[in-house]
Order: sequence, then structure tokens, then C-alpha cells
Amino acid sequence: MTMRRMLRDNALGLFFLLLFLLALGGQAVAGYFRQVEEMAEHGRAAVDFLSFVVSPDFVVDVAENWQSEFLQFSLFIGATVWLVQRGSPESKKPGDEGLESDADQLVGEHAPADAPSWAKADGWRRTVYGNSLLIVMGSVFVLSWLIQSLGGSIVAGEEAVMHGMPAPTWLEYVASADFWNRTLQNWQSEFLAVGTMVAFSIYLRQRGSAESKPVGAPHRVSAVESE
Amino acid sequence: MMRTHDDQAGPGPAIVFWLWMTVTAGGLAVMLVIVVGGR
Repeated sequence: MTMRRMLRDNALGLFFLLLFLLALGGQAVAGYFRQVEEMAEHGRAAVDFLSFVVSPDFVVDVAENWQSEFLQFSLFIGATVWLVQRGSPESKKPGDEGLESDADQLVGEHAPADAPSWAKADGWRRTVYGNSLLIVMGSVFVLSWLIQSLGGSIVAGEEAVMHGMPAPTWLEYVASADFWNRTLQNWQSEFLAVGTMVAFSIYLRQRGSAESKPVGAPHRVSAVESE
Repeated sequence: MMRTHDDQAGPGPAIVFWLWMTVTAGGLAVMLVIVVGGR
């Protein structure tokens, strides 16, 4: 296999990895300059760039966006098992709600010869593998939300001390307006994006996109139904 | 029956999978060390 062919076959995953790294780098640089400005306003010496990148201030900004994205996809993965939206290519067709039969899911005796080995296995292996996407995405959500709360409590503590106030404990911070403001402002935009994607894709199309029904597909059918 | 292009897939999909796993798990680990160490 040539390198060119390998890049083309995996372009989607690599394209978003490149975008992610560029955006994260940009966030670090912009966040650093904002920090420098704030320090100057308070008449304090600025930290160097590397110290900023490994500071709780930067971490909390990264983690609060991570948790909301992974919550969004975890909910989307889980909700689309049990809920349908007629006409949306993001949905199964009405009547297919639930975990589906072993035959539909190609597990156990229905697994083809080249199926993943844990799909052929019985018991806990099949259960774990059958939920592995949600388990991993959900774990990243929980961990990044925990990191946001820990980082946020450090930052809130530093600010409190600067103003001569006692630093909040982690539990006090988790119950604070700052924590829920940061959390919910991210959640609302994620739920908006998922909801609009589900709803708009009933009537709107993008020719050639895997996220869209074929342009000529009727509004009432999902992409799954039209296959 | 689903048929994929597995025989011609090469190492690309596995590389992409592990690149993203490394970025995600590594990012979480680094951030956890920073916030736990900062307390």
C-alpha cells in the first residue's frame, strides 16, 4: 500500500487530528496573551508560556470544552439506541428502538468469521465490547468534567486569596455558580447542535455527505430505511 | 451481509484509532496530573 493511498483512506481521522492540534495550539497562544494582559492590569509579572500551558487556568478552559463534547456524543450514542426521529439520517427507523437481536448485531453464533473476537464471545466480553464506544466516550466525559471541577476550584481559590477571601473547597466549588455557569454554557450549545442536526437533516441535504440522506431521498425516510 | 474492505485496509485504521486514543488518554492524564498536583 502506498503512503498516498493510506493518507486518502484515513483522511477524515487525520484531518480532524490536524485541526484539533492547530486549534489547541491557537487556544494556548491566545490564552497566554490574555493572561499576560490580565497580569499587566493587576500590575503583576506575567508567567512564561510553558508555565501557562501547564497551569490550572489553561486546563480548566480545555477540560470544560472536552467534557461537553464527550457528553454530547455519549448522549447521542445512548439516546439513538432507544429514541428515533422519523426522517433523520442520524436515527434508526421507527420500530427498531432498543438493543436489537443478536442476528441484527452479528454477535455470538451470528458473528461472521472475521468478526471481532469479543463479538463472537459469550458473557461479559460480548457485553463490554457491545457497549465499548459508550463506555469509552462516557468515561472521557466523566474524567474531563472531574478535571474541570478540580482545575476550576484551584483557579477560584487563587482568585479568592487575591481578594482576601478564603479559598473554596472542591465540594463548595462544585456547588458554585462559576462551575455551573461554565458547565451549562457548554452543554446548551452541544444540545442545540445535536438537536438541530437531527431536525434539520429531515428536510435539508448535503450532497455527498455521510451525515445526510441522499439528495433525492423522501423527507419521511431515514438513510437506514432507504438502503 | 456487511462486507468491508478489510483485506486492503492496511495499518491505517489502526494507526488512526491509536493516535486518537493516545491524544485523548494522554490529554486526560496530563490535565489530571496538573490539577491534582496543583492542589
